[in-house]
Amino acid sequence: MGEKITINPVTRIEGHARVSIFLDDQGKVEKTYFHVDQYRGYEKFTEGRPFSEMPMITERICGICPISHHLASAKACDAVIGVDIPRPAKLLRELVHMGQIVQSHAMHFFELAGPDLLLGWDADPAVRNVVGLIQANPDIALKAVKLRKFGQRIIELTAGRRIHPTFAVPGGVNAALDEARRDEMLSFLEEGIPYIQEGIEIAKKWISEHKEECNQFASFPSGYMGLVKKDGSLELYDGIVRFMDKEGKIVREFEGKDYLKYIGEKVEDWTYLKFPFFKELGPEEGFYRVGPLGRLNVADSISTPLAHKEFLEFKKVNGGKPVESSLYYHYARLIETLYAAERAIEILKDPDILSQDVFTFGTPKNEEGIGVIEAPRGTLIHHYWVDGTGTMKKSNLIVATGHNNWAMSKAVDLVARGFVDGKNLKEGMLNRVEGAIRCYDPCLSCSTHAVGKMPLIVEIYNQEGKLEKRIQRD
Amino acid sequence: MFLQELSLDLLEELALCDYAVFVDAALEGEEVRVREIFPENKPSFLSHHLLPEQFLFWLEELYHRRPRAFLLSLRGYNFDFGEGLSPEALASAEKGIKILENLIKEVQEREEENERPQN
Repeated sequence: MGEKITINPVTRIEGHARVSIFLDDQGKVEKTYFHVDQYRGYEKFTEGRPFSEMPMITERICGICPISHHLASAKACDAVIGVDIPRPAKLLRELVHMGQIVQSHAMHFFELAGPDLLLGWDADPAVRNVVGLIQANPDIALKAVKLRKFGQRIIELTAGRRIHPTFAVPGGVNAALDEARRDEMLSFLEEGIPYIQEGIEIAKKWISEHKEECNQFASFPSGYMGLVKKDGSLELYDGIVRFMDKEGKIVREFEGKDYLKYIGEKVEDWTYLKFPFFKELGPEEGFYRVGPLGRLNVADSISTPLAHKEFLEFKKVNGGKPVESSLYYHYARLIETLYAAERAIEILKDPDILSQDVFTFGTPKNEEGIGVIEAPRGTLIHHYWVDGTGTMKKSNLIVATGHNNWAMSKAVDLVARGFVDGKNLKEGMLNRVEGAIRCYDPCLSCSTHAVGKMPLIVEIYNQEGKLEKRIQRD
Repeated sequence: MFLQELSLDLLEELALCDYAVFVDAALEGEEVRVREIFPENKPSFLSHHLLPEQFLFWLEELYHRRPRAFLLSLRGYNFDFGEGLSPEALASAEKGIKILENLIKEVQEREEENERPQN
């Protein structure tokens, strides 16, 4: 093996990661690795705490998608006390979740993915960022800020605060909604839908202008997993887990509580992130993708009219077969944003939404509780084991980024092979490798804790270990 | 407003302000430090780490607003797991509150001075 290129940290993602590209003697890529090399300690320090604290503790895993952890945790706690929560409480939890989908997806498209797509992979890194995007298209930037704000405002108005609320509790939620807050949300959501549609049109235009790149960029067959409603339509809060194989055949549908029968986890010695796989296909063939692309691939339809119309167009991308290119994650993410906004409006117009019946009291009845939800980035599983007093014995958390670990590794390997030339290294080549990871919008903060700021440094060493070239981006 | 981190959605709210004070814990440096800050393009490659100067820069670019802004840094001493503040951090926080009160008073006095009719 010849030289090695390191991208550290990978930029415009949530949290820290590193990519190592190994080159042969001709400067061609031999193998690429996506490393997450920080330790996640959350499962350990949940031990010994009262189970009812979990929705407040586990949401601290992340400042971007705390609601997902908050709700998956509350669902696991509902299972511990054996309570089917009141319908108004379910609606309120789902409403908060829709707020999070809107804010998280909007931020990703604008702040993280947008600079690559709208300014170009090879644009000067000094301008290929949010400021560059603001200067190039302030109108889009203003709308993106508003969408992010609308999502956060739904969370704040419903759950009390934008980040780390105490809203969902075992048995339901701790606050009902009033008419004034409902009406405020309805008002800004109606304003937001055209903004999302504009974003979808931008994505479609970009795709039509970059057809070949879209179809080839980090495109590979895999399984797909996501929640669906009983009728097979897209579901983000509840529902059954559907697994689809690489041919597009639905091979299994199961309740989230049975996940251990179907999902195994493999470890590698070069990363702290595990590699989940579908047990029926084994660790070599059972890898799959989750998140927007996975969800739209497994779903038969979308229950809201505007998003369903877009969904039908999305399904044409690969003639009804699973859409395989990683770049289509961005397109799928925007369609889901539209669904989330429409679904939030549906929920707010539901007669039960102002009900005071939002909580059912319960004490620990079961030694285990499992909560499954679709976080913005994919399927999130919280599994708790408790003793008779409700004290946590242990927990198992499988986060979306974990499910996509294999796919991200595969994507960076394919893109590095396609674009990186070790003898003529350019920043734009490495940005494409990072861009392959950004498609998956990984939230490494869900498994690590980001501290401080580091520049991007790429170093190329020869076979004797001597530094030959160094590119630095401060 | 209490926040874990600065994010884009806050721009619209800050656009309505004439003054802003960012209060944050500091890993090192003086016990308490207050300084006026200005818009500056200091991009971070991590969305979890946005500097107030960069935030002000976005505000100016997008909303053409430039509130007078200060950064109040309070030194923290123990970032390990635990509950409550260390005695040293508590002392920093108390000093910080006094500085913040004086800063607000100073701004209010200046505003009143400006509003007073000129002869």
